[in-house]
Amino acid sequence: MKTHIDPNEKCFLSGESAPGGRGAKDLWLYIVALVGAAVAVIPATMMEGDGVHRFLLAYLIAFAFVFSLSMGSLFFVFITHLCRAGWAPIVRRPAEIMAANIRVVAILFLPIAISVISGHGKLYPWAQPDSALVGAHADAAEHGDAEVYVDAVGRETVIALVAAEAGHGEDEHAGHDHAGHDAGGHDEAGHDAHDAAGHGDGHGAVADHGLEIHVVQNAAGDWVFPHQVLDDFTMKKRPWLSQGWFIGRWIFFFVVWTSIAWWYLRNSLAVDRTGDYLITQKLEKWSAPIALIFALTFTFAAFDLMMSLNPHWYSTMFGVYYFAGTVISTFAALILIFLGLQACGFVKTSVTVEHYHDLGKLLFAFVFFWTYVGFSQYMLLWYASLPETVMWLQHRGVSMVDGQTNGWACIILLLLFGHFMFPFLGLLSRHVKRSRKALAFFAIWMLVMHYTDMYWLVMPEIGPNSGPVFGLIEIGTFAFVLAVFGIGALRLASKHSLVVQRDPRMADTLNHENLY
Amino acid sequence: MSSTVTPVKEESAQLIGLMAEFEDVTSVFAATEKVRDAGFKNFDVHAPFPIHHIDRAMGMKPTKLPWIALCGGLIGLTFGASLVYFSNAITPEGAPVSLQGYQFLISGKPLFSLPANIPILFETTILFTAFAIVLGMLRLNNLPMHYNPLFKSDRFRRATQDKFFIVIDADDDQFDKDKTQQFLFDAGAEAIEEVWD
Repeated sequence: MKTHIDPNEKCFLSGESAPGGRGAKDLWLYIVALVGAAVAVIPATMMEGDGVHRFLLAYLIAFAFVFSLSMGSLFFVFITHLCRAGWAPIVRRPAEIMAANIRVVAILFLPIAISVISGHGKLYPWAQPDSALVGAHADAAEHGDAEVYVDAVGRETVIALVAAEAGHGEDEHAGHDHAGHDAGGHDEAGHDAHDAAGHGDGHGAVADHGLEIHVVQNAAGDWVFPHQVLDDFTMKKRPWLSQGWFIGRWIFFFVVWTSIAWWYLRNSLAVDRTGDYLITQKLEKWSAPIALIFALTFTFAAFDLMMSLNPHWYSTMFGVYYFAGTVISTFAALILIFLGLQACGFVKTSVTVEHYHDLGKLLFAFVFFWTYVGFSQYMLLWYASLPETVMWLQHRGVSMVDGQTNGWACIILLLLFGHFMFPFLGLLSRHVKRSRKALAFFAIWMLVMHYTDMYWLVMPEIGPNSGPVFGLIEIGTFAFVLAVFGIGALRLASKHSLVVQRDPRMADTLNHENLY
Repeated sequence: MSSTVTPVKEESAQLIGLMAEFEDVTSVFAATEKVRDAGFKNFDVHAPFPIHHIDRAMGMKPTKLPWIALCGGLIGLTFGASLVYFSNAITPEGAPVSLQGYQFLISGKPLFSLPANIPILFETTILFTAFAIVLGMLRLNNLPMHYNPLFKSDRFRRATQDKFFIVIDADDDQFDKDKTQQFLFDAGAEAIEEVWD
């Protein structure tokens, strides 16, 4: 029976046995961050088309990824307290540090906040002043069969119905009036505007002969999704989706999360010093209300971050969907952190195969949970088949019908097989979960898949004419954001022990064994 | 050295095995390892509470239950798929009315559309897996067992209170009444009782 950490255990990154040692070497992270920023910004300014839009979407994907790590860690910390998990204390410290690192995530949020304040509506279409509202119905006659809207400052918005896939639908509609055909280059990818008149009023339509989508011409003359201009439909959500209130609630969110995460870290360090079980009792008692606060704030944060990219679309499951991916990425990260630390000679005897086994079990469970939630969301949208909700899925490649597929189908298929089937079957066996190499592979795999998941949620908003795009901008923003997150986490980690030193459940966690 | 007890028995009774009593976890654990190392297969350990790693000390093989569960799940998946396919998507040619499927067109969806049926496949998979696990567990544990000759022993009642027992079955290849009895005493048994039935 072990009741204390082995005195020879290397528990401090700084190599000193007392807290407050010098920081770990993180110069390379600064270099990665700088190079990443340069690699992302330079192509974004030089590319043809809207580089700012692409950059912001790529940045949002990367932000959603590190936000996952912090929030998933916070979840892990309070849920293990809530369950009084005996096995968990020894692996809790890195999670506490990543959760407390939410303060760095708050700094990383600044570009998104600035894009919202500046009111260009490129990232979030609703983040525009009311004056950008698409206005009254204008005389459509001179624009053929397309519908034309005029905004408050007299700019025209043309709404046309196009076939979404190259080589599909042209022949069938060759005789129709090609409204807006020569405007704004929307036909570059072989898209073909045609008869819009027979399809009611405008916002998305699925014709019986294949996928067709509405596009509108924005103020800059580009053809975009209807939800990418500020219209009446979006304005119905104006009390929530407005610039000032968005900034206000995100300040509130970050204050709440930072307070909670630091409260946990501070108290955990106090237990390290005193071994006082009353502190742990206090943490456990308050974990229940914190779980409620977390669930509510995280759901609304998920709505804000990625669901409001398309303000026409809504799904009450969306917060849970993002949460599932968040927890997967956190367990994968914890597994990799401990494997990495142990490979470098830290905490070699305290963390055993039993803890990896448990983290692997949780990873496996949440792989299935992600699928469960993702499918639940999909099935309801699919069954109801409401235009404004189905459009979101259709443009993301979720359709098995011939002629309705688009370039994004490969991403959703990658998620189906790579985010669910492969890791599900792979992690099913306990031998895999108890093998460090196999578990490391699946942890890396799930992190890649989590990025793909975020990519699938965000990047299709690039526009109706684009398939999947991936390049230096995505890699650069991801490297930058991850490096900045790493700098913050490493600074915290080098000040404190990598594992808890004293805990009321120390004997439980050090001697933890899995029966199965 | 404690004594061996031979209980009162009927004429036709047969020797079932030897029951050795131990004082504490440490001694029963050490004795269990000795019994395992001596090559006994048919024996069991009884304790008032679960003892960690007693399965290893007894030399038990990993359970087959996961494979039973997997088979149950696959059978459930197949059953669910056949059920929804039969009831929604096909009408057997010339089949009686009671065997025809229900080819209802619902909100323009295909007759056999996977998204609508995945919940059913999921549920039957889970249901059959649960059945397989529960029934497999009962089978592997030889349950239900309404009668066990050990229950006749007054001494054995303390297995639910403060004593620990190793029972070696008489049908074990290594079993020899006198030798095994001596072996158990050497292993640290406080008392040994013959079990007749």
